[in-house]
Amino acid sequence: MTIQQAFNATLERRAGLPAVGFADIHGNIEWLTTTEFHRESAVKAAWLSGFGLERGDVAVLVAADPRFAATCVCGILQAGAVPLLVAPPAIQGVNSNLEAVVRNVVERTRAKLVLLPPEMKPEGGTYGGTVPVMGMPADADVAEAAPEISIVVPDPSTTAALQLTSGTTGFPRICVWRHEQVRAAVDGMASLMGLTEEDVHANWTPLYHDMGLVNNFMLCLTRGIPLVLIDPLDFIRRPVVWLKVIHDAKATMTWAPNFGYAVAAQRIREEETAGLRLDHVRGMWNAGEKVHAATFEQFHQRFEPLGLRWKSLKANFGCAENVGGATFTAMDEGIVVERVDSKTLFEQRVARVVPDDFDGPTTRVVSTGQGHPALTPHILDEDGTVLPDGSVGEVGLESPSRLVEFMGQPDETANTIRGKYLVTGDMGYLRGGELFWTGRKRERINLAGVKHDPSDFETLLNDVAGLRKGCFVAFGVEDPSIGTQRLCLVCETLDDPGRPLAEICAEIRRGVATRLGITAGEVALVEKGLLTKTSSGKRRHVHFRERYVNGEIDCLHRDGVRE
Amino acid sequence: MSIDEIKGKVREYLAAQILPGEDPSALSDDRPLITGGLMDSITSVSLITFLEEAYGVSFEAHEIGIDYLDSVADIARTVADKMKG
Repeated sequence: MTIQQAFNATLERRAGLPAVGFADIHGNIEWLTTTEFHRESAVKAAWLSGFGLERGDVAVLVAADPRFAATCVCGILQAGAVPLLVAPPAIQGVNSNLEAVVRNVVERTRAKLVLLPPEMKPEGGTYGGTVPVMGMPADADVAEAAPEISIVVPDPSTTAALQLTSGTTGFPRICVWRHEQVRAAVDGMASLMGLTEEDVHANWTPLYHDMGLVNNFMLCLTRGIPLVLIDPLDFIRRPVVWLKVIHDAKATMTWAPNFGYAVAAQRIREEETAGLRLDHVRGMWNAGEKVHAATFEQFHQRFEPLGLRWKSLKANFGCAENVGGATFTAMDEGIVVERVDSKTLFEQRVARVVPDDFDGPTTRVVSTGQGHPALTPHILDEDGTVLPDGSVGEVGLESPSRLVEFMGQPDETANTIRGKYLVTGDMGYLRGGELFWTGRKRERINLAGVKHDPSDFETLLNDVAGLRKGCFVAFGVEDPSIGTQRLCLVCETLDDPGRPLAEICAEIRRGVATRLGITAGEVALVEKGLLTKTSSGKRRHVHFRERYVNGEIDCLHRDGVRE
Repeated sequence: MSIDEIKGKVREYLAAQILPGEDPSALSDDRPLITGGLMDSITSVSLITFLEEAYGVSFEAHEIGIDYLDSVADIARTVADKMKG
């Protein structure tokens, strides 16, 4: 069944029932019925068709407003076309790299349309000379478009959607998802979560992230589960809006990366939660980045008085390459946490659970649960051999929802789909069917659920005078105080950098902020020759992260360090 | 309320909430906060929430940007302009 066929089915079954609610910053919800939501989306479909969008075309969308994004995605799907969402800049005027990313994506996908916010509209009104560019439509333009709902049903074997995931070349990889994979992902999640139309989802994760797009938008819209969308910026501005929407909508399911739970636990004031209840919540899913047991403990302690049950706090492992969630905490259980011997974990790749009186260094590892009924996780060694319980290796998924390919990147595809396995690049171990995530095989920096590859920083660091070109490492360091990672950059300087080291650090920070739209937590400068590469010339981000965290790197200059 | 008073309060907030351990007096008027990599989208939004509550002003989404918030001087000027109406 295609997404569009599922839309038609929910339109028949739930025409006048609530489908999508849009919450404002105070948590007031404007509900649209299934018919109303599809009618508003049909207006977008008609508007886009006026620009030539047809069945099978790719439409790239850069939009921050949840209502505009949701109705455009639905409208693109109604037209039988293929949506691809790109993250908009959260801070105006930063992320000058975004335009290059959009141009790259438009070119590689041969997109028919690219929808951009007005401030991104380029001179001449075209992107690459061939693709029409629009800003947001004026209300009058939208009102004039035909509001009839007409859903084009594509062939089930065709591409349903495209999704970006961080790449290794400075540009993202493009996951190709067909209808059958999206359907398998949605069915698997719904089955494991025991979803019914009595459930309600509340979501503030953005639709350009697969957590927002698949685990919420597609899951709910194709299965007739009411969904409330909250603007991510509203959650950051006023975190209590999340809990208020959960209370008012009687939401049973919600998703957020770990940092969201940290933000809520730390910043929601007690007086703001008066009258709110969370007793009815079945699943608060923590996904998209490392799940910290301490964050969940803090969150639970903080909101237990509102009726929040420990067993409602759940962990998930998923990735864009698998379309959506892969493993899930069981619905009738809380998260499983193991305390293992750090030495055997990191040196021998064996997760050995230690007794309470063990006095050596230990690591707490959170289980991300078990595979959904149609998916089996395995742990693989370098040769692809399945390892036994407790052995650390690469996570491979036998999954009906794995991506078809990375568009235009056969080598990347071959590295990721090996035989019957989707090889994730994530490291972990299994015990009793539970998947424990321990890290990434290659360094992948995860800032509040958004992943970055170390290669993203190469171009800008090459432009900084005083640095040795290509000689740097970039990694993320877990910061429990903020519930996510901090970006650390360690760079070699020239023998004579020719300028003050503090000035070099400032330029690096400025470049990271303005060109990539993110913040460098720590910047360190080291002597030439310290950051040795592998024999094949590759940078060793993981190796030097461990040395840096352990204080084994002599720095000429560091800033941003938190003690 | 004068611009200097707003600057002083903004410095205190930044030092306490966003740059823990920073000496407020070391936050010069023109030190770049966003483009200098000291504030990200999350902390920028947190700052706005503080400003809205402290000064009874309101910000639009497009004002979460370097034109309005990139230094103590920018922030104070923006708040003062909003207070004037």
